Amino acid sequence: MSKRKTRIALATLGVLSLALAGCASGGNDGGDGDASQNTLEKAQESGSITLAVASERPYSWVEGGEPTGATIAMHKQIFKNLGIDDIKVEEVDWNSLIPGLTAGRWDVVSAGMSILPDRCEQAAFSDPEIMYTTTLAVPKGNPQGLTDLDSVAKKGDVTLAVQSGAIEEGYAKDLGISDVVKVDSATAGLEAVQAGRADAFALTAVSLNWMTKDSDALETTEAFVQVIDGVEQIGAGATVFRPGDKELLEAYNEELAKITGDEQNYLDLVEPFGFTAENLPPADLTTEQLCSGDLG
Amino acid sequence: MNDDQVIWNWDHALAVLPDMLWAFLTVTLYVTLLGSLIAAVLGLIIALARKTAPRPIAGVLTFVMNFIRMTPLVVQLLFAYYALTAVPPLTLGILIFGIHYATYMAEVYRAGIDAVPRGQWEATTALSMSRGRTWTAVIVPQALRSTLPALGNYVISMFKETPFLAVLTVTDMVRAAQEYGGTNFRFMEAITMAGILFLIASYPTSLLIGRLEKRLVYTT
Amino acid sequence: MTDNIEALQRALPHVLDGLLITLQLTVAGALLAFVVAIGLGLLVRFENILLRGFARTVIEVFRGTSLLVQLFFLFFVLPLPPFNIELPPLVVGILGLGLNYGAYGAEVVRGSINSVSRGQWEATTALSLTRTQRMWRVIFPQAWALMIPSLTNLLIQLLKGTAVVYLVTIVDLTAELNKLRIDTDVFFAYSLGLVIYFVIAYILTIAMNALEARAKHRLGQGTRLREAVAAPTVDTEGDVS
Repeated sequence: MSKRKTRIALATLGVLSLALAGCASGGNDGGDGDASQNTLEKAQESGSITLAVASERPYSWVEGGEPTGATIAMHKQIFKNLGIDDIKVEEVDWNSLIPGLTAGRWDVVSAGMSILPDRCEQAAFSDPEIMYTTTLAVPKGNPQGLTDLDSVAKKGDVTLAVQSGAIEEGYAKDLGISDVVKVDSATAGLEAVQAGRADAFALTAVSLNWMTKDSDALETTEAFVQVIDGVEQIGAGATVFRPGDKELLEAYNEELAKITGDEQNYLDLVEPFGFTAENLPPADLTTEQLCSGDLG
Repeated sequence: MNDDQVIWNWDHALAVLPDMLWAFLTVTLYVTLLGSLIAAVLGLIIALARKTAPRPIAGVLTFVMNFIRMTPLVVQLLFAYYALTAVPPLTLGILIFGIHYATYMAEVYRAGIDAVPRGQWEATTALSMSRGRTWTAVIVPQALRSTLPALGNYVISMFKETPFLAVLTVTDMVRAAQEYGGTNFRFMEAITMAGILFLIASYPTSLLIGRLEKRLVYTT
Repeated sequence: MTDNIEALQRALPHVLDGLLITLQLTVAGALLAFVVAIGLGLLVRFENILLRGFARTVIEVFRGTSLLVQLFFLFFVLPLPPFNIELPPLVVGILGLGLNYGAYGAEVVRGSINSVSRGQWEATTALSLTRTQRMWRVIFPQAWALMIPSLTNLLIQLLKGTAVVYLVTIVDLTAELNKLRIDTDVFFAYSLGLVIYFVIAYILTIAMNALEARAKHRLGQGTRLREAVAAPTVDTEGDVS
């Protein structure tokens, strides 16, 4: 009888210890410590902050265990100036970026997400960081002779791959392109074109040019700025925070201004990743402007 | 943390419904029904083959069947997606689900066949029935009776595993919820609605299967 | 082929980490599922309508919604108001797996307890055993031997279920396979993965069969070890799922 009791006790201990091990290894991201501390203060105190990326080269991805990319480079400098040296990175699929942010799984989304009016209602964007244009990745030789999204819409029987939740998906819908394949990541989109599941993949020019530069199978069309209903869709990417983290946003924007105000500083950080002075946002472009839909 | 965010926003809950119901009809139900059909038929073929084929072939078949049955559906889906690039994702999903569940069904059929009383077999020998007729006229119909509830349970199970189709970039209900969350930045309502839809679909069905089971047990 | 082997060697530490996570999820998830199954399986037999109703509701909710929905809910929704509970990803995985498969297990437990022959129940009344003694010493040991095959099936299902946790940022074996695929090729990475899962499943099955053989032994219903080593079978109800 005592043998059985011992076994039960051991089993319970086993379950508990495994559970605790899970908690310990996962780290304490819950609202522990001082509840009155905001995210910025917590990050500064612990010296570390968690970013989420969607493995979109060359904005942000993880290579050989190390986070790298243009937005990562900027973030490393900005957070270092704020006293936060340790950058932790979570690689997730695009659609999980914001739900995870809202749920507190990470504090920052570092994926050059476009500032759009609908998104502004639910999340806090930093000041614009990267201007970008769109392009299509197609099989080498461009068999369908595509130039931009309008040509895709016009041609009719072209299968277009877009990243699920990204701005190009919206463009495709507005242009009435119905034959669409939605992928989780930039790599998946390229794989789709390579495998013949899609005829073209639409994403930012910087990404696709970077990712296909050594490719034998794929090439990109010339970069363009999508026009919808006569309005040029000026694409500006920024970092995303939770609406409640106002202090973090302010501190971030302050440091960001130091980089975007100094062209040389900006280029030093992003040029290794294929960005140029053209990607630097104009000084008069504000987040409020983009959030209100005023693209003129 | 988020003082300006409401807990539950009915607008979002309703807005996500059209996409989700569409995904439900065109993907979730579609794949479940076709997949189950394939599983039921293929499973029977496998079970019969295992019983009637010569030992070595049956042995190999058994091994392959067990291998597929005991390894994750998700990995099989991923494998198929990246290997068979010419096949459209939805078809691929139906095939892999069908094959995977066929291995479950084959085991159920086997148990059903084994449960047919010895007397039946002996009677067919006494009546000098050919092997073919023995199987088709006597054994299989009796074996099938008892497997109907099992088939029902596996249909429900497949229904609930359809979210795995997301790894094939096929938009099922859960992925529709994810996409809504990705575009509109509100995930809570979307995923809860998906859960509710699942519950609405599977709970009554499992009650029905339970009833069916009781009735069949009675008549056997 | 040699390139693949080289790439595998380089990736081996990561793959082993992923494997460890998968095993942790499986074992911890199984233990939690077991506790939940017994708990709910017994609760649902109580006379008290509140307890029974509670257990029944929990069982039907977790059986009726998909594992992925549950994982997403635990991961993305629980941290939000009104719950405000933020759990580390691994705990989310264990909790999701444990609750989902525990709910199925509860049905198995309930069914097995019901299958113990009436005579046994009557005998306990004749011997004036208390309710606890009845369950603990007579009914449950017999039900235990009956439920092991079905629980084994659930255990294998759980193992297969762990493959989906990579969608809530847990870096398990499947997540590592996905990365390996990029460095090697589709066939190599996923075939290797399937073989690993198969080996784990087979070992678990043999372990559970040995457990069943022992349970039956203690009841005086021995089986031969040879039968114990066969692959798990499914009975005509096709229970579990």
